Amino acid sequence: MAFYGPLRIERHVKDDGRALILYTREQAPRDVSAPREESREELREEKARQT
Amino acid sequence: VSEQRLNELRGEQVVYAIHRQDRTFLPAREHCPLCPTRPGAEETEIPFPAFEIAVFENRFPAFEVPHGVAEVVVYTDRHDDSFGTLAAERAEALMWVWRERYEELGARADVEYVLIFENRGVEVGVTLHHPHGQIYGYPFLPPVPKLELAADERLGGCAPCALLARELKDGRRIVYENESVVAYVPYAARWPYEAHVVMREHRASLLDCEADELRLLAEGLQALVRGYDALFERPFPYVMVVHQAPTGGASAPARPPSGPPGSSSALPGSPATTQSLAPGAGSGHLHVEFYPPLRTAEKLKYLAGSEQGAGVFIGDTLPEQSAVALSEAIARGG
Repeated sequence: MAFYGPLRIERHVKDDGRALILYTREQAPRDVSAPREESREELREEKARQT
Repeated sequence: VSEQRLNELRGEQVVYAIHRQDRTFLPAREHCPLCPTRPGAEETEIPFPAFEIAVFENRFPAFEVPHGVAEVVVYTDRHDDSFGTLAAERAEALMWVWRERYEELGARADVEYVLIFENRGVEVGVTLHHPHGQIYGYPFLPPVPKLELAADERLGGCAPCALLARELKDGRRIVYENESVVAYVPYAARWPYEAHVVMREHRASLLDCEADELRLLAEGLQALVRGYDALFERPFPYVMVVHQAPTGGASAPARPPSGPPGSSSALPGSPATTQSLAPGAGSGHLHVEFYPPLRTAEKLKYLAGSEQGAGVFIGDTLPEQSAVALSEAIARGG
């Protein structure tokens, strides 16, 4: 389970392999930047390598 | 698997996704694939008895990994709702979902542009009535965002910023305002009741918005859609498209030298605000465009000879007239 702003995120994989994401609103918005920064940086680096 | 071909005469990519010919077409509500899965009933796309907002990879995608992506965004588990009738908190949450998908998909190597949109009504080709939108991650920069970047160059800065300033100065086509967004029928609208909901401050994408701006964007979008429904007192068909900065490496734009007012307080760490980009490129400016096909309560505006053959829209209504009617409808829509 992850969080993004006011959302709680649950990631699932359907029987046929497709992604399904469920979003549920929480009461108080969270800081979206800090916990995701590392993974975002990794994605950017990966994207730069591939392009 | 989709196939992409270049139409040389138009200089445009055409995507063939022939498997989409078999996609679900206007099923009876008891077979709606976007409803939650009821106990003992046939499993839908969402195998849970209830949910708030769901996103899944399209079963009949126009784009597939490693050449882009196509997702479905289901706004609610209530089949008879619409974007306009969502609770304000749900609409606001949807803005965060859009933001999260833009960020994640935009970071992918095979996605050059993230397009978030909703088709509403059979008049624009809807095949499922359950309230939902879609997201396409294009493996190339499509023509419309290219044109927007060209408009930035032509106008010597952010085109939506300049056009918003003109609309505010003129005032006749403004249909809605709040602290963060302005909605207007554009000076040269192509559709009779076309409207653009534009961020007041320069925000390249949802990633640059503060939490309050996302809330007010949702508020503005819902006000407009409710106004549309009140205009002819019927569910109003439209195509709603979120325009944002491209996300691809070479084509991704830089923040303009002037920078958005208050940019230091924007949510940090987004790809759109940290990439090193080509000099002179535009930035994109978050705005949402609506293309409704109705010109009266019962008559559609068709794209015919001039529109398709020459690329020239012929209008039946002046934008100033449409804006008056739409403003009044928004006031009625509440």
